[in-house]
Amino acid sequence: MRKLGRKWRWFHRMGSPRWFYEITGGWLPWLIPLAFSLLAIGLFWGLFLAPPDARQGQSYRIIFVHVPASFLALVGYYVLAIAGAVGLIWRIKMSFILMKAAAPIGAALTFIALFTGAIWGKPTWGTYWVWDARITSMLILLFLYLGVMALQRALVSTDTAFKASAILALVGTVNIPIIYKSVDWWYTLHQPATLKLTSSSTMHIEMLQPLFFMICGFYLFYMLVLILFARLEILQREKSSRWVRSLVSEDCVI
Amino acid sequence: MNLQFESLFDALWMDGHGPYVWLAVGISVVILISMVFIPIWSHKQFLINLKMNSPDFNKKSRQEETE
Amino acid sequence: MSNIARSTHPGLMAYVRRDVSLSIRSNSGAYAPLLFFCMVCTLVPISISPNPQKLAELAPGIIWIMALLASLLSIERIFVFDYEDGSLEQMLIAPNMMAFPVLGKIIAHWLVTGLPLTFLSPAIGLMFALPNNAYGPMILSLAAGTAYLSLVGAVIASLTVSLGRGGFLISLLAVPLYMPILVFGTSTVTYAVAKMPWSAPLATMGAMLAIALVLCPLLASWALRVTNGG
Repeated sequence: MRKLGRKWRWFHRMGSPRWFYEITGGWLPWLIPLAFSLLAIGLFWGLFLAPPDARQGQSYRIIFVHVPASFLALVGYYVLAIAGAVGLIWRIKMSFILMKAAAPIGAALTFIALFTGAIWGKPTWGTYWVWDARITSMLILLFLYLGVMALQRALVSTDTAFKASAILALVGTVNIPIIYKSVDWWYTLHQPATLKLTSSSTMHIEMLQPLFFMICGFYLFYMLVLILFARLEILQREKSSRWVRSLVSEDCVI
Repeated sequence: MNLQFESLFDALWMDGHGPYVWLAVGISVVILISMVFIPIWSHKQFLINLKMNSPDFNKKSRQEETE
Repeated sequence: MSNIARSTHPGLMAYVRRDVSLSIRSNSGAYAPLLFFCMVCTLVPISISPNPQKLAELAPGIIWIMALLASLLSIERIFVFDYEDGSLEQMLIAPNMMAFPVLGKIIAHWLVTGLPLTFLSPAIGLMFALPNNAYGPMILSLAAGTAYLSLVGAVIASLTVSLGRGGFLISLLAVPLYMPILVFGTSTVTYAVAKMPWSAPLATMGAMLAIALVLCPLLASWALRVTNGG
């Protein structure tokens, strides 16, 4: 057998749930305060210190939650699909565990994005809901997340459930741009996207700074929650393994 | 960079947009916090359950009972 | 190469013939989706308005939603019987490419539900006071669209086949994927009603159908292998 190069050793070590569980256990004491303090700073800054928007007044402050949540909800689907694809191609169990963990997180973030968007819409456009491309796509994204979760739950064998929901996630990924384009083509009356990476933003710099904090905070928060859900899943899957048993027999748990 | 609001009431009311902003932020914060606490709590519960059901623990508790 | 072609092509037709005759002969309601389509379309004028102008405006959307639901209702049957009597496992063991029997089953499903529905749609259009120039686009869009629905639905059905009749799960998984074809199908008919050029959405549907025709049988057979412990 060919000896694995040093370059690839980490990749395969990462595939071991035990290794993941042990290494992330050391990250948590740092990650939890870091994520929460970033979110707290960003939220305080956005809600109390940033200047009001010239057109929308104070109600625009909802974007400090809405934009990062929608952003991470979309990123989360790609995390889910890529983890599923890696699991299918290289048959790495850890990758499937991350995929399973990503689904409820993505669903919750999509729900937050839809909910805050609806509330924001009322004072800004006078209505809670419009059937436009981005809102409708987010709603469909929520259904896709719920579908992956439901399929995962419904199938009895974990291995089958992992593979089947990975296939579903991939089919969904192919469909997201088609869905978005089709709905966009059908009907658009949303304002143009406010935060673009390519063109200069239409937002004031003093509003962008707290938004930047919130996005970084949400990224760290996403990582934290993904790790937490994955650790729970690892523990449940490997409860009869020797390392979990020795973990349990130690006095201090968690 | 200064506080945009002169009083606590101003900050809560936000020129009439306060209820919208606070409802949106409040629900989001509740969901975000529960996203952290649900896995931590179930993790703890799962470990406790494992400990209760482990042969070691049962042996120990039986010893305690006989003592 | 010619050997493969010779061995698969008759195989494909045999699968189509087998599935069509099985669903026609079985008493378990191969016509249910068609009946459903007609019955629900009857409810619309009663519940909304019998006014011909209003009905003509609603007709494209309603006919398309009903076609989608009829396809959704029947799609779980595509693999379930073969799964229950074990012939699906036989097909998975067979040395042939699984995608051909799957494609045969999809074609059969379309022949039993999508095609009759397409032929039936002018009658519904008549009852809904659809303008004359909209019938052609409606029939074309339904013919292409229901084929797409059968193809994509087969992937979902193959993921859920081991769950027995997981009707709710199938609709949760399939409806988001059906959304684009509903958009283009309805707009083909709506454009025709509004006397606008309707070839663009219909051409898009054709392109989607072509891609689905290649990918979906492969995906469905892969999914069948996974869910049947392969």
